[in-house]
Amino acid sequence: MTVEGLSPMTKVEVVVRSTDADAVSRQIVSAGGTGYTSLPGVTGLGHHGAHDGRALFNDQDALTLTITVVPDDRAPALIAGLRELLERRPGVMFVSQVSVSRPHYFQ
Amino acid sequence: MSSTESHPTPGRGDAVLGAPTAVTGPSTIDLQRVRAFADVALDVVGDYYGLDAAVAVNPLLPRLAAGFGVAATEAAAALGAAGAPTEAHFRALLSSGRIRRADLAAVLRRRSATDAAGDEAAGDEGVGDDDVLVARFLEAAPSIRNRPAVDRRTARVDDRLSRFTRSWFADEEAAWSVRTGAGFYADWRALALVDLTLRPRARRALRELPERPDALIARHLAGRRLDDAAALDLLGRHLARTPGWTAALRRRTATRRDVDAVEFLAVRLALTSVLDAPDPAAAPAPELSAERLLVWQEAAEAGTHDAILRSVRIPSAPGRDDEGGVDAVPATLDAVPEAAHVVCCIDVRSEGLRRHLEAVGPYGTSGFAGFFGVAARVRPLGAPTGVDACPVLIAPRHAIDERPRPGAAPRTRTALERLRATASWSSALRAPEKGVHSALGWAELSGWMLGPLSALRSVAPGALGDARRPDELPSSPPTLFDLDSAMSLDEQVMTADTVLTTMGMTTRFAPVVLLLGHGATTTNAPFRTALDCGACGGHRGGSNARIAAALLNAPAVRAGLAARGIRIPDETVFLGGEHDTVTDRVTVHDAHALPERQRLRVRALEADLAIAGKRLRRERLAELPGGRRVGAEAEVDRRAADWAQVFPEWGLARNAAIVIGPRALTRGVDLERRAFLHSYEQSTDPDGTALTTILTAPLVVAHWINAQYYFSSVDPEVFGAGSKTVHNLVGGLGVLAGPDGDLRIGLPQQSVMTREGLHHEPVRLMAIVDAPLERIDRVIERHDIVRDLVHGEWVRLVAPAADGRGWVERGADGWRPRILTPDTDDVATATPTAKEAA
Repeated sequence: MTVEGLSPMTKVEVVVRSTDADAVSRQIVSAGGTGYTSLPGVTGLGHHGAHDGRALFNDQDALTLTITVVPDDRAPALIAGLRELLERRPGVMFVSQVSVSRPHYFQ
Repeated sequence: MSSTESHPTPGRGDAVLGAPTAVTGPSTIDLQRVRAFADVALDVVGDYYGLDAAVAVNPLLPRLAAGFGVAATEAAAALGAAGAPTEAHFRALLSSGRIRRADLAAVLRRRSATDAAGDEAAGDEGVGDDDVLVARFLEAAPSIRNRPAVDRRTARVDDRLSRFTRSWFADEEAAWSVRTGAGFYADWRALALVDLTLRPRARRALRELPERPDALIARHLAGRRLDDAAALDLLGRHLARTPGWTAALRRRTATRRDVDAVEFLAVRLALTSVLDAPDPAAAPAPELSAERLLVWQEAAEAGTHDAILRSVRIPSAPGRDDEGGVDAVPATLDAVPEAAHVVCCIDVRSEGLRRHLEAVGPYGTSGFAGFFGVAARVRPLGAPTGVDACPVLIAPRHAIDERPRPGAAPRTRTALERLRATASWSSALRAPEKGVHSALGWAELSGWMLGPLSALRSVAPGALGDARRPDELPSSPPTLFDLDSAMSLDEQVMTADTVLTTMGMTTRFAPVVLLLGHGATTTNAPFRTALDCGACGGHRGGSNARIAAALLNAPAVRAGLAARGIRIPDETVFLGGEHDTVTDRVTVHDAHALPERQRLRVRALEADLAIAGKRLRRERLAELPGGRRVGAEAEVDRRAADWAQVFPEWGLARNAAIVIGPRALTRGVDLERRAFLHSYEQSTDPDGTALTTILTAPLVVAHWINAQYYFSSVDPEVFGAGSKTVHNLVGGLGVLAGPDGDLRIGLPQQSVMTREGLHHEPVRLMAIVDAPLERIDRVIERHDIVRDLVHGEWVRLVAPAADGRGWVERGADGWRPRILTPDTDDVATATPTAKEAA
């Protein structure tokens, strides 16, 4: 997706168990990502069935969605690292092209 | 949007980092993959939480999804540990009759229908005479693999890495800091380059290694031309050489975040390189296969679990006797109005107090996680910072401060001044000890004064005053917890609602409801927080109990509860208290402000709690090494004050089950302090919300505790902390056995055994859940953590059969009848004695 006047970037979204969310954020930071958004307790239906949101007294028994946007040249390394994680831990990753209005935030 | 396949990973299926990498240097993609490998490699062991707030945890938690059988064999073996009793141990239990042949045969028959385990014995048909089945099983004896000797150079790597990690991790305790702010690897590298204990050749080699930690790992892997799986295995083998430091590292990556697996591994691999050490050898295969262990383990724990199941009443089973169980709940139990109701923590130690109290008078009791639903960071009066007084499964939602009650300012000031004076005096005395130049001189100067005091403390524990922690106020000025500043009214009402509905207490409130936290008074005990309340994050639970009581007494909260259909009578008062599990004395707080009539009720309750505590003391002391039932009162005080006492109490040793259901299931039954008890009333939980909460939190905590005791018992050297007598503290991080070496995780030997052998019986947790089967199924289906526990056979989940006749057990393939083996002895006699279990 390209929108006139905006800058193209790569958006990476990862849903993993909350206990693995730290590893995802470490990947983002070490790959040069300047930030990310983390949404703990996401719900939904997936490969392993339905998932409730965060339990009342257990933050760890939940899924976390982590979203980041990086310049295109940093995306391959980040994706390669995340794929290695997801080879060995449950989760899914979505990669898409996006356009951002303030590219310097992400560089 | 594209799928992940749109970015193929270079090198997949080939050497993880090939020769070109070694020549040209790793690409950014290589480095990022290396980082992922390092993170995943950390899964060789679970988190270690340290001793400032000791939290029991399954040391193989990262392998939870693999199931108990695989984790206790393969994952444990990867750490060089025994994750289960040996074949010889199980055979000895069989010979002694502690494992009943009927149980072993039954397990073999059942498992042969679903997997290969029983096939070894049962043959294709899976049926046959008990003796034949058992004989075939015993014929298939596993071979014992010798553990390969550790290369001397690898041991040197372990030693150097451990020393540096200790200095870096416990930096605040060090007289000379090794930290410069550059990071774990950079700090080590800077020191190593000028370390004269390294040969010049090693220092030269170090200069040639990459300065980036990820690049160093990449280079190490590239030189070996490994595929992905082998590379990951190699990194895991390195981390497994120091499971204690690796476990502490795991925790640190999620809390302080000042070090990660990449930096730690970089130091390890750099040492390996410059010391010319080989990579650690692959661990030998475990003695028992996962399938064989599951057979033995189930047979070994059948006697204990059967005995507990026979004790627990099956609901809605009128006149039931065909399963050998006890009769249904006596109708008279519900007919007597309660003089007071006591809500205890689910901790197994509460079972004894509840049992004895109910025998003393017309009291009712319930069980709830000891933080009483208040997930808060609590700052006690006079404390500089707060503590996370809630299970480690959740982050604190509120920050609550303890403050003086109106009018109590002068008393509070006096108490705080005394505390500060004591702290200053203590600090002044200890300051010279920490100085590099003053320590020896100070010992000479102060020895004449402190020597006699030390001697007095040794020969007459308690002579210098009651046991008290250094941060505790010397007196108790009237205080309150400032709820309104920490929580909105809606939050207060919701918390109160959750607490009451989760334990099924929504009607028929007693005039006095005492919420009872617990803590342990000890002296000079590094593992003291392991005896405190796990639900309070390894802290004493009195404050949480007082906070919850204040919440439930607040008129605005009660009005909010009434709007939700929970009407607490005006006459009912909630109080907070604390059970000291070393002395079995109970303190009731905040009763002074009550009306006279209520005060009389509380006094009567306190008197009966004292009687219950006295009976419990005698019962407990009979099991403690050196325990004397005569003079029990003085004996527990002596243990609490004795700075050389390694057995202040048994903690949660011998835990074997959790009962989730109404007290009617277990009232009047002596469960020998082996069962966690969580109240649950299925009729007040039609949508299963409360059950979900219980199975996703208290059950998980109970499993962590059970697993910690299990693994600390079966391998006290790797999963346990070894003997207390040789422990050296590393700040609040943990202990070392002797001056150096790996950080010791788990429980010390004195928490699970005596010189005679094991006191704790390594059995898995049996969860008895009084709830409709489909409701339990729904929680299992929707919550990974519960599914892993049940399907992975970490927890044996049992529920009353739908027809009210007998029990059913949940496995990965659904429910099956839980048949009790006839002629089961009671819990005590079905359990191996210490000597036999050794």
